[in-house]
Amino acid sequence: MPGDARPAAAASSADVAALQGVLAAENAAVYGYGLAGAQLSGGQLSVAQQDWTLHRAASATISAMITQRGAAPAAAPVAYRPPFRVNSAAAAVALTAILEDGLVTAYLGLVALDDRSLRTFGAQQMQAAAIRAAGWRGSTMAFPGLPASALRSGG
Amino acid sequence: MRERLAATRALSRRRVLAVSTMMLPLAATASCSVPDLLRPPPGLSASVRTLRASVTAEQALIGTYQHVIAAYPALAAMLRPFLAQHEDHLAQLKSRLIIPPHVTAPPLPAPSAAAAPAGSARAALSLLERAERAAAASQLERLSTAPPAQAQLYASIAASEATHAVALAALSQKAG
Repeated sequence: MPGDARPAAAASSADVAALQGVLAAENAAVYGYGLAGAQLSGGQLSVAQQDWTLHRAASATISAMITQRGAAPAAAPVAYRPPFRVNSAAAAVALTAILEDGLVTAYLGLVALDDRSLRTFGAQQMQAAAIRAAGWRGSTMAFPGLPASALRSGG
Repeated sequence: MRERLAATRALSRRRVLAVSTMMLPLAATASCSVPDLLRPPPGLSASVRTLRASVTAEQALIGTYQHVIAAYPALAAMLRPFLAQHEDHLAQLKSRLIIPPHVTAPPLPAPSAAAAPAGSARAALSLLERAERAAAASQLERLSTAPPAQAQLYASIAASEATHAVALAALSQKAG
């Protein structure tokens, strides 16, 4: 296997870098769901609260995974700047979909690692985030997380 | 005539000796690869076999959708977006399927026959939901042997299939 020839330190640093990317996306989701929740009500608020709790737990899990690899989890910024003003329910829903899309992409990074367990974990979390994103957006995507540049034209 | 024949034979012997002398270092260098030449050509790599399995599975899923749409035209508008995404999956998978010229690959197996028509529209949606879940699970099993970029494609397709399954479950409940 190609990955077996690599020094352990190099493999570990790639794992940690990818996990730090996931942690940043999870922390952004925790903050963003807080913003979105302020604009939501009823069933949407209930779902957003569940998702917020889930992302807080995921943030703690990923932090622990980074620590287990001998690195320090990057601290979450005090605040995040959303890509647009979140001053309506529609904007809140759009923001949650964007946050989940960001998580799908971040977890996709784990799938490229040599560590088989991280690959599977990343793929499972991608599915969960893609399902939440589709729920907020109201539609599914053919290639969640993959940038257009990764797709072959005319293929 | 006899002299000419003798001269030709002598020339041939000299040529053979000369050529043999020239070939000696080459033969010595090549001696270790001779057994390789005698081996049968290599088969498909694990990653190509996995890719072919993924292509076949995607074709089967597309066949199931087509079968359900033919049996329940009222579902067509709901199902076509999912079907179109599967066709995109298939196109991307096939675009990565490059068989080296020295490898003789058996033809891709024909997709297994689509499941028998479900008894109702709701049952048909449930059938598709189960097929999507099974397909997503199979994609995850392919991750371990795949090169990184291929693994990411499988994971993305699996995520898409997981969203289809959830959407189909919701449609199935509405249909009930």
